[in-house]
Amino acid sequence: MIPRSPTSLTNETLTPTKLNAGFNRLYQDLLASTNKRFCYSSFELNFSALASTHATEDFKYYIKPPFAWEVVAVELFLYEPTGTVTNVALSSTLTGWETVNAVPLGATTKVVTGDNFTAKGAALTEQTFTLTVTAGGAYALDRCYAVIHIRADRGNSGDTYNSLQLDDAPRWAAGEAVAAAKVNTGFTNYQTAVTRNTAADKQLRIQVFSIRDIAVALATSDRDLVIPSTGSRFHSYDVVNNGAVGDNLVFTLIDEVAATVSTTTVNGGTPPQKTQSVTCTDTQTNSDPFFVGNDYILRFTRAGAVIIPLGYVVVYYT
Amino acid sequence: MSLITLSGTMSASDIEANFEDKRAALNTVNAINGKPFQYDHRVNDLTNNAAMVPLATKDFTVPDDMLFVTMGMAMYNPDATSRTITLTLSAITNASTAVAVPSYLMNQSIFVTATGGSASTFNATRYVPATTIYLIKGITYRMLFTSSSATAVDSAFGFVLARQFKRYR
Repeated sequence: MIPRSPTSLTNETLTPTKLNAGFNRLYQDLLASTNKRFCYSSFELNFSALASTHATEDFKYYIKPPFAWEVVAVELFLYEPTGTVTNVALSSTLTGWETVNAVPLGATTKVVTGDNFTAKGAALTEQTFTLTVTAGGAYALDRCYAVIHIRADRGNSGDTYNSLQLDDAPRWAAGEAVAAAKVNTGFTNYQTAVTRNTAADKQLRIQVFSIRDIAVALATSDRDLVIPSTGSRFHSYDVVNNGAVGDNLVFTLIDEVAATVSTTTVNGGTPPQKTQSVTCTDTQTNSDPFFVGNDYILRFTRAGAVIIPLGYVVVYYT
Repeated sequence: MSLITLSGTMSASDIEANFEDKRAALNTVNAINGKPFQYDHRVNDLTNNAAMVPLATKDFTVPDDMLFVTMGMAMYNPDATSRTITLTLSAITNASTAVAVPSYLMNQSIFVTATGGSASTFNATRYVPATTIYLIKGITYRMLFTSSSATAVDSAFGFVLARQFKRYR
């Protein structure tokens, strides 16, 4: 999306038509840019290996982004479960959410359902995603996960974002005298809008890294997860622990030189135990995702003597 | 950004300069010369499949045309037993039938292999594309772990990284 060339005026008579054309081009280019200011991304919610013996909280995820966001599409993948499962449904507290259902198809090993709708959540407002399994008796899911496609408005940093519209472009009638003041006002208004648009360049992404059934004897690095280096800016994160009292979960974000960027311990207890909105204003120094030496590491370690059924970190970028 | 304030008899070159200045500013916003991309990042975690039966697949459908950047994998080896697993990316007609369509990946064979043979080691590896590869809107892609070792994998993690222009839509 490359802005059009400006109207040439050199060696020509300055006419209302010329100026109108020049400003219209500017405003159309501005609108083309601002209308595409949204950041699109996706995250996954893993429900694999859940069984009827699991606690209610193990079927839930809690997401609390620092920015307003919208879900625009959902994919729900369900491999053939064990037991008489008749339906698996994914619901959410997001405004406008429509329940996504997956019905096992007998001999078919996997069913995929998807839906496109818009569901909204405000900044710093916790939203819950819940998987509900309907079954005739005991059951066990094989693999089951949801891919949540989202978008966030980069221009949401202020309610004055881009107040200009195409109709706001200055115009001169045929034969009208072209006064410098009006031209200046047109450029000044346009500059204000471009400045706001320039500020709307953040990567408003959410990523969920989850681990189920975290073993008691968990060696360091055994559950290391990788974030490739893309020059990303971290904003904050949430850590959730579904473990029992004493089964503490430690999350550590490690940078490319093996230094700790941030670490948070979430004690076990009545699940879920949540530590949310942990500030982590770090920017990846490198933007070379091909080099593993630039990777950031998400590390989980734990304490206690009982398997933690679910632990996860939700990472927010800006 | 700087504006030339016009007055009296306006100079054509001053007006042109103002137009061009703003056009250049938009170029920067649209990141023609800056960091032009937003990233999407898919993960596949083999943790729950430590017994390797079945090996994990992870499917996802791409909502927009996106530029494939790289695919990576990391594996943890708990002991000195050698383990080798491979993560492969393929394009499939849909997630239910899983018929591969190599042309949707420019007929490239995209895979990374991690081998571990030392106790308590973390092995990471990366695929570097030899050509430009796009993930195509509406097409379902599959990440698949396979093993060439008899010993169960303790844990492994794979990801696909793709990107699109910041001002794509």
